[in-house]
Amino acid sequence: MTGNITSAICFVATTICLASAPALADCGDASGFLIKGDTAVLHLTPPPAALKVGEPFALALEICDAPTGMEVIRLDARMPAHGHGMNYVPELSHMDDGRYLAEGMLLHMPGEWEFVVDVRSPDQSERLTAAVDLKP
Amino acid sequence: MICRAAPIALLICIASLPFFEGITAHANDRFTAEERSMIRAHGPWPLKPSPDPSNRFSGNQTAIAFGKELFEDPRLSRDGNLSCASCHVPELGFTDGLKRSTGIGEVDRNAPAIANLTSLRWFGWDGRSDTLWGQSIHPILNDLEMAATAADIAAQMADQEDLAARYEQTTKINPADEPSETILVNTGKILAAYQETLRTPRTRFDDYRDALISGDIVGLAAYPDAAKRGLKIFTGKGKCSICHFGPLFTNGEFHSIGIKHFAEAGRVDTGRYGGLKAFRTSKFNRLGPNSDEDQARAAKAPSAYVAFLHSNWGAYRVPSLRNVAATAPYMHDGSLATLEDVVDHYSDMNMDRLHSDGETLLRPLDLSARERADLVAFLHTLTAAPVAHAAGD
Repeated sequence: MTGNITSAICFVATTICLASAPALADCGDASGFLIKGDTAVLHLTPPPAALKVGEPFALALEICDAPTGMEVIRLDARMPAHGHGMNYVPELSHMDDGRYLAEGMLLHMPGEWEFVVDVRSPDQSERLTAAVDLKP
Repeated sequence: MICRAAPIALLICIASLPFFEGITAHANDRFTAEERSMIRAHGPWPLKPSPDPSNRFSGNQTAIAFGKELFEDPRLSRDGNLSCASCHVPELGFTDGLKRSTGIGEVDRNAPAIANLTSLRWFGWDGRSDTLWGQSIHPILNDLEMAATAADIAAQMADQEDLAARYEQTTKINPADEPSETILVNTGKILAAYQETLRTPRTRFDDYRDALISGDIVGLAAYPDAAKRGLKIFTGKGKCSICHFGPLFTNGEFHSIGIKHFAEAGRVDTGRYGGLKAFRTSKFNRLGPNSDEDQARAAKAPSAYVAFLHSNWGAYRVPSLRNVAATAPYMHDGSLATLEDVVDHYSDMNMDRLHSDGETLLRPLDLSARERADLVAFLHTLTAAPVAHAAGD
């Protein structure tokens, strides 16, 4: 009897733990990189090492951990030390598999870039940023 | 003992002399990791040319040969006196040596060099075209340049026996059966097919860059010390390589660098701002009705996503520095006569002239006289003499 109660307590506790844990395991592979904020964690591919100066690319975004209803609404890239961003406006689309795709990205200079992602849910919004060092 | 050791020591000293000489000679070959990365990115050279998907004549040998003839044919101008080669003179690095070019009238801009064009995203100082053939049509129609019309070009192609034969040989269509605009577009594409073949040869810099990567001692020693010091400034504290990036020494984008915006008293040259406006209304771009490119592919090209920015105002395309010593004068308006003037411009940059929303990286470099001379020495090594060797296929 005691054993059954213990098992039930363990089952409930494990379920609660799993439900509240970030689903990072799904996004933490080496094929991309993470952008973490207070309300959301996003996984972006390809990784910065795969990006080349002056070559157009598309960026796939996946929400790893966020409140229900959180959406990616905007992505941009800037060079804070240079006072400017890209000369192109990426187009963001929501794909059937739940990921987002930002097309039309082009980083035209080597150096420190910052990816800026805006996320929004019915209750809150946040701007997430990640530094990307674009090598020559 | 001392007597026996002395000759041995002497021998060691003599044997070591070349080693120490080597160290002295290599002092200018020392670069930081970041500088070496930038230097590596300036090659390899030559680039492998890629065909233009928007131009069905790209790489077509018949079109290339016809394009070369058309490039030098004044019948493409309204008054019959001007050809493309009037402002893009092969012996002058495909420029004209003038501050501002003169066609039917004087234009606002310096004639840009037209070599190594296949890797560019944008054409012209203001990037008004995302196709080389579209850019080639612009001077034919511009009232201040060749001042012709589509009807003029169509009439020449149909009425001049030699042109009609060459047109039909290239396009497989008799020009008499083609609409005027189609003939104009094909003329632009045939001119572009020729211009795609204009490439500058390897330079002393390319040999040095390759030697630096491979560790070729002889190759390293062959490059002038002043040029090495200039290269260090270019890729290091001068930060020139950030915009003059890669094998072409340009990132292909647009910046305002403090050159005056007035084309003449009371009239502003809007630069990239006007170029983008022209681009958006043009029929001669990758997404236009005259492009031969798969439209789904063209819709993913960078030009389909281009931004209209406040900083576009008065910005101009970063020119390639290959062959730069042969293409004076410099800047979009030809306002700087020599490479020394260009280096002085960046060294003594007037911050009041910079765009308030522009590149904050730009600051006066405050170079010494020797540093300025070194930078100029480096720039000269980006040019292979003689200039007329810009190679056609």
